[in-house]
Amino acid sequence: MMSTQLSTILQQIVNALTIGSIYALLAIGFSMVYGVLRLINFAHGDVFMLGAYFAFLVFQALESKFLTGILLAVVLTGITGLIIERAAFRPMRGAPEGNLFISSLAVSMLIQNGVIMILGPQPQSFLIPGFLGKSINIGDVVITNIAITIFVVTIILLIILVLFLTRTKLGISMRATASNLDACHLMGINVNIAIAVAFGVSSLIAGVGGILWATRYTIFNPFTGAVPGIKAFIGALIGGIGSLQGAVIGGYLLGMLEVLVVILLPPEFAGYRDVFVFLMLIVTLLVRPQGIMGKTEK
Amino acid sequence: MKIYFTKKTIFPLIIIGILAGLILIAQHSLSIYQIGLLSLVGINAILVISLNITNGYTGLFSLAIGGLMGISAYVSGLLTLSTDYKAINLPDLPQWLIAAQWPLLPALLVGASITVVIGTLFHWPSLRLKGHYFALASLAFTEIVRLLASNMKKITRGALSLTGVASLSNLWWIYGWLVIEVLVVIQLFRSRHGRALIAIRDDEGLAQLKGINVAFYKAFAFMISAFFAGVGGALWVHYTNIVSPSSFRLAVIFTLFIMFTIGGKASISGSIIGAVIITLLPQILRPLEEGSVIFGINVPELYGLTQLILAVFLILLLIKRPQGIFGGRELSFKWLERQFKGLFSSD
Repeated sequence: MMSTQLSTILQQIVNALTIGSIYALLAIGFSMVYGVLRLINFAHGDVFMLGAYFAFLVFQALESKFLTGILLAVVLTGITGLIIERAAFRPMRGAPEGNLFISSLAVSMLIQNGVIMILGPQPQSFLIPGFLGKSINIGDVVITNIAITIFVVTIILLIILVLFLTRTKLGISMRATASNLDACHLMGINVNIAIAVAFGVSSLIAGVGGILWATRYTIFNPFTGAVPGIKAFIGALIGGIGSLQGAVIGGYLLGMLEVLVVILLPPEFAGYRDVFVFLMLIVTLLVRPQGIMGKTEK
Repeated sequence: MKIYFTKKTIFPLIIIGILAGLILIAQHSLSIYQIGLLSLVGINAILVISLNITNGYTGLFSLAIGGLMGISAYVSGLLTLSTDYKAINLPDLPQWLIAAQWPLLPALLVGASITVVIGTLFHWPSLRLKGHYFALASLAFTEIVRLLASNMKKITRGALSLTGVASLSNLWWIYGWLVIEVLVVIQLFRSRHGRALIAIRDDEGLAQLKGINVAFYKAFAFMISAFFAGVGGALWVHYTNIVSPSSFRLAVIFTLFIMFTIGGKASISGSIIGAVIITLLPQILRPLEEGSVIFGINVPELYGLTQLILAVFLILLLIKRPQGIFGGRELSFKWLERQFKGLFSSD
């Protein structure tokens, strides 16, 4: 038998890895879009929320199998990302940072209120297959199948993403655009396509994240994406915005931080958990604005 | 003998006189609902101009206005709340605060001053950050204020919200403060200090080379903006009678940003017109949102429609006319004349 203290810590590590995985998936998207456009995409959290809603709609409309339904929902989320880029960001290419930022805020409001208008503000949920609800007990540590799934899916997605970014022409042109947009113009790289790909891929990943979130917490509402969105962005910034490894490290670090605060703080202060996340953001901005893995921007 | 009534001083006096006359007429002839709308327009104008001081004139992209409003709304609300209410609902407050039941003006001044102190202390280290790094720090400020407001239940009642704040704001207070703010901003940006702020916005490095103390001036602009955000927050809570942590969520800041974008950077008249349009627009759209019969067609309930239309409107505005309606100029007869001439000479 393990001591209860050790098992509590192990249990919290499991929790941190689960929540950190979802933050990492979201943070990658923030990082990619920031890389190509220097845009803090405020709508990213809402695209994440849309992933869950698309899954909900697909299951309702088609009564399809779980996996095909999810694949369809993820593709729909990716297409939404492409539409957002085309409609809200491409027409104002070259505008000051502030305008792009406000535009992303507008897209965020658009998505949230669109969902409210069509489906209402009440929370929704979709049926998840039975095996995901089961769990494995190791000593006193409970590992749900959902937690395992989230972690494994995240790792698989990361591997695919790295292969995409290093082995395919599209991926390489996207990285080139992120590192120097003007030079890419000169070298004949189609920058518009590279930026669109960044949006599409980041939305696909966010869609997966949203569905995973919905299976873990079972219910979601039009505002579900807001808080994880901001937190994942903080994760991306701590890790070093524009850097893929940084985003992953930042996402998991944030998961760890949240769990640590819960363990270390007395229960009556549990509500203050997010204050620490934001303080961490301030400290990072002041001490190391380029983040853990980032390079200083000229 | 000195001449006091030059063209420069008499013009504002005439405008203030006309405004006072209009308020008198409004108070006697308009319904309570219409006066309420007029109050909201004034409060929003105060807040948007405050936003314009940092984001428009100084180029300090700040999202702190939610947190700033929030601090002032809570502080001034607690100071004017009746002793009975506080004794029943907030028994853990210190005795002197329970006993305090101040009139509006001192409560507002204390609220705004505390807002300036807390806001400036929090932002002091991050003022050297540029562009959206500062924006993020200020967003963190707003979120932290919101989190503290929802967790410090002994002071704020958390999500239960502070209710029963007396309706102490009236048109005189609101438009009086708006006039003060407008005069301060006009005087400021006519002066050396205001030009220093604009120089920082246009080229921070060059401004520094010219010997402008960038850190000092940024803090200075932030403090003035924070003060008027505090004034706006205090007037707001004494208009709505209630304040809760969700009063300052991002959607509220977003609305202020739409007003700011419509009016354009560094334009007072633009800010005011933005506030008028965006405050009144939801009133026109409300029948749509609640579902009604329009032109014989049954329109179902469409919650969220107002925000949706505003969002689309903002995106189109950012694409088609990112400089706002006035684009950094003030509304003046000369400007209107030029626009009309432009309209007619184009063909």
